[in-house]
Amino acid sequence: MMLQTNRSATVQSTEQLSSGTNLESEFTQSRIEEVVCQALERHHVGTAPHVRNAEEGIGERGSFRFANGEVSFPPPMPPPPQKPSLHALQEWEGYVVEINENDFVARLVDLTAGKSHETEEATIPLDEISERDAANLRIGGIFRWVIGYERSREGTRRRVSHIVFRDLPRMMKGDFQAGEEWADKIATAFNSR
Amino acid sequence: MNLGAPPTDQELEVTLLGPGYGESVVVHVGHGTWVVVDSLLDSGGNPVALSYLRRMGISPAEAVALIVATHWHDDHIRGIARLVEQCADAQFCCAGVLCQREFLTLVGQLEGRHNSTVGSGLREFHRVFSHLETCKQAPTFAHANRVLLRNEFCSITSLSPGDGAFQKFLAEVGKLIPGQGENKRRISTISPNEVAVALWVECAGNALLLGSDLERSGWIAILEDRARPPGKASLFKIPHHGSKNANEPAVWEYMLKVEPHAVLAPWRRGGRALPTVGDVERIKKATPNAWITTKGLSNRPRLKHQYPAVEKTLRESGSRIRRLTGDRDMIRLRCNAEFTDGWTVELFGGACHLADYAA
Repeated sequence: MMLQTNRSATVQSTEQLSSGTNLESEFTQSRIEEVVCQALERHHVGTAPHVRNAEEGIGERGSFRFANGEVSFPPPMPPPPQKPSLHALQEWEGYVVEINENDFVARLVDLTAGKSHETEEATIPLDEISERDAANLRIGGIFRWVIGYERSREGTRRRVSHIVFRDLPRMMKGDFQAGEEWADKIATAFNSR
Repeated sequence: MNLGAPPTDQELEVTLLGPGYGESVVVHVGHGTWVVVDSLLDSGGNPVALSYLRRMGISPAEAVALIVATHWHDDHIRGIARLVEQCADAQFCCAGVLCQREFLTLVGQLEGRHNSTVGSGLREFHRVFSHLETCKQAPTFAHANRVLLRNEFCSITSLSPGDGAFQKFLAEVGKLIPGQGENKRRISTISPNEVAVALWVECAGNALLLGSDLERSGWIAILEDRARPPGKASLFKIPHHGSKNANEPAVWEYMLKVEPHAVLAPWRRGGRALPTVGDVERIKKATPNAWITTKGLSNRPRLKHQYPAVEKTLRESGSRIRRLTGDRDMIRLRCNAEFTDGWTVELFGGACHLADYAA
């Protein structure tokens, strides 16, 4: 038996539904919740928090009805816009040690594995970095490299590799001063022993 | 890996650790006293010298008497700060030029504030010097013909750097500091390497020459120095991974015995590797007793990542990744105090005779 909704939703029957008995008495609250939520999710309305709770949804707010084997739903809504997101599978921090005509060589710290020191060396084609980052490519340049899945606003997923060079902070007057003070402290301490 | 028993009180031991990125030498100078020369990290991020000693049941905090940082290149310095912190009784030694105002200022200005996860030789020095200052200690400064350690069994003398290298190095250091408003950057090297510390270890008439990464001009200065320790060494840690720019034939003639034992660790960066085929042939001609810490860097299995999607992305982009660390590649040589039986060579991990090395 198929439960037909009065609009467009179709809910696959269950053993309880096929018994033909009074649904409202035999359908447990939890089962109702499950079936309704499945159907709502199929219609992209189940993701809203207020209909996750079947008790709130059934008849009380008038958003849908449940009687005589019929489940009524509000009209299907378009999927809510999603924020673009990146699910990183692998993440490194690296620094450039060599630049060649077609590629560059970098030492990598595996951040995904929780490392704090270089355990890998990569040879990476120059094509892998953007034009903007190419301007920052220099020996000693530090970058973040992420490989993972990117989900677009529309919900599509694609595998990506992003290399982004970081600009280390600029040398400021305070850096010069702090460096000289540290050097003074160390030199004085060492020379006095 | 079973490392066996530690050496007896009367045995001299030299162990070269080097998986292809960096090297560290551990020396037993008799009576349970150890010296560590340079540092590299194992896959767990620990200095390999510490791991090596602990696996033989030796407490580095009590047994290590001297730690030498021969120079500040990344492949010789990583983890040396932790070594210094954990070997509380050890004296730290580096080239005197590294405690000159110019170098200290560079270290203070670039590493006073950490800017990234990746470390550097400068950061190691910042940490070491800060630790020594807190502990009210000072380094021993290595220079030509300075005795760094002497006990009833052995003496260790630095052969370099000479005075000539000082000013040149300091002039180069000054150029490395970014100007005001310029971005900081990671600095890892100054070439050529003329301020590396070469060491002469002498034990009951038997001597070792530990060549660090000292380049040819540095060797010429040592050879011309009449005050250097006399005698010829039976064991040579070949400098700078066997490269020709660190080869000075007169060293083999005047500072080493005929057909000495020689050990080296390879080096690779991108498509460049040391020793080259030519380097291997040259060393094999100089001595049939040469050993290297790994069979060949190009034969290593590729690093596989956890997710197939990562592997696929790397493959499609043409990026290649290789592992830098290796915990078991080492050569160990031991001899008795009188050197009556010569050196006993033990190979661990991928270590092999140089004839079997695939350059």
